[in-house]
Amino acid sequence: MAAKTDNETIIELINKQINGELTSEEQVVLEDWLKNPANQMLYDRLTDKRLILKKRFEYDEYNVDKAWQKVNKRISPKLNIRRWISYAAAIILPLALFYVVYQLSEVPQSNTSPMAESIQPGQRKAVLVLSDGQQVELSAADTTIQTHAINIQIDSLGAHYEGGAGNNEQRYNTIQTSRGMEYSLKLADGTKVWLNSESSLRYPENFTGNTREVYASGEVYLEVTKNKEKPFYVHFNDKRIKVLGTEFNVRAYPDETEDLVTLVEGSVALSAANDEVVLKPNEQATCRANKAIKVNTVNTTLYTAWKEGRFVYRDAPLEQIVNDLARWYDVEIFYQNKGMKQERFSLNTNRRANIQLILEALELTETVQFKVSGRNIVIQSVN
Amino acid sequence: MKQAFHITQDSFRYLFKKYYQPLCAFARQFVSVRDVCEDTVQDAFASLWDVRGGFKEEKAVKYYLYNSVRNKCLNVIRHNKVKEKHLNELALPTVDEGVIEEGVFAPIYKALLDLSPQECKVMLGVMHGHTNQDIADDLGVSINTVKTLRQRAYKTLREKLKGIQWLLLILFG
Repeated sequence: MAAKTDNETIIELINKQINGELTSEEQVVLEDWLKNPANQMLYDRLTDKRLILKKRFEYDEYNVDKAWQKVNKRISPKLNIRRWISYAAAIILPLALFYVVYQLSEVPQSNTSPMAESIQPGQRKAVLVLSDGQQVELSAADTTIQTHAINIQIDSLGAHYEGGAGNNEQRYNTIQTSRGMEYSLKLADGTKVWLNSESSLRYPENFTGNTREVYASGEVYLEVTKNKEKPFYVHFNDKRIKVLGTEFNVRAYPDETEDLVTLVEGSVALSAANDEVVLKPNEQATCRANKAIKVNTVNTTLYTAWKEGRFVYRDAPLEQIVNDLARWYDVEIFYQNKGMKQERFSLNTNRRANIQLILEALELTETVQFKVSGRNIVIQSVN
Repeated sequence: MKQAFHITQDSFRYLFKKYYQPLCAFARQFVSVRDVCEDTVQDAFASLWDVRGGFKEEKAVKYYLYNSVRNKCLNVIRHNKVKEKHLNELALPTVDEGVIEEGVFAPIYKALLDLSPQECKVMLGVMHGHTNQDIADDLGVSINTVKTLRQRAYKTLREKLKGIQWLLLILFG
């Protein structure tokens, strides 16, 4: 098979072909590319004059300005409504009744319930996007991916980057998980990373340069290799964690109002727009828009249980539990009674359990009811 | 030292304006419902804003966006599939195809924007081999209007698109 011709070259050649400017050498390259029937089909589509005119009308259907307004609102820090909610929550919490589900040390894993048959727990899967844009689906199968500078070993434990020497270029890869997926990998410096569902991490194939910088979204747990000469930075939203050698969890889902950084071991410095804190082990930083960073001491197990394959919650709001279930089992949640969101529950189960069993366990508190239909779950209060 | 494409408020807006429509058209090849496509592309941009560091150049961001949109669309399909048929991912466009299409089509689209929707419709009619009368009936205008629109379109294209000669051939034809 001939080496893959660069996309940019193809674009240029096709444009020249359309304009009648193609040289005979370029003609040869283009014809070679067209030997692949998929490419030929694409080419026919792109040069079909009728389709091109139709495309013009299609583009008009997508209103850029309206869409921009929507996206701009989404990415801008949210304002006062958050403050109101936090005051309201402060009043509601003391009044809320705390329910404790009996500790389930092991929820049986047999799939006996027919209703939840289509709903499966998450799997070890991810999509790896290389620096040249090529994507690879990662699952447990053993393979090796070779890029310019580096070998990436894939096996049932995840992806391992074997550091290449010398090459000064920092090429960035991205690992992405969707709902229903989790993954783990080892970066070129030995740093271990675990990704929960709907998460991503951008990182260099090889850590050249004076710093090690990665970019995270969603929920990731990192065990960073100590290197005093090369501080490790994790960027998420518009914040940054500086790390020398340590284990910590970052939870920064775009659809949640707070970002949480939980330190298990070592030391990290977290900087946000107007604030900076240094965390000690067992401390957790809570970041909310337009508010100072709050630091609490916590039981880190609650925030790192996912990495060990468990759901562990103690007096956690239903909303949080249910959001995590939704991402892991890839289901949609609807609240018939929005007040249920702040009801508190405790839970301790295996992540691979049938979701029906977990829902039943929560229902034992006689506070909440779940109705499952396909991939949709409706949450009702018991009244 | 190292060249990098920094995503700021301004460059993010630039990227949005440049790639929003092509990405929607790309998503439309996976999912036929327009609103879902637009939501998916908007989600992709929102995600980009979250991980906005570390891009070497604009091209890298473009690939990131195309990959992101493709993954989200595949997810939508998996979610909603009634029969397994849809999940033949070989039949769905790859990121490479999306990028090539955007690269080939962008300059053409830009040039075509100089034509009014009416002039475009006239050209479509001409290409389909309709007579001026047919086109006039179709648009609800007089034959003379159609002829005028044709001339205007030709003039615009000749002025603005030096290279795209085949478009001129259509108009002549």
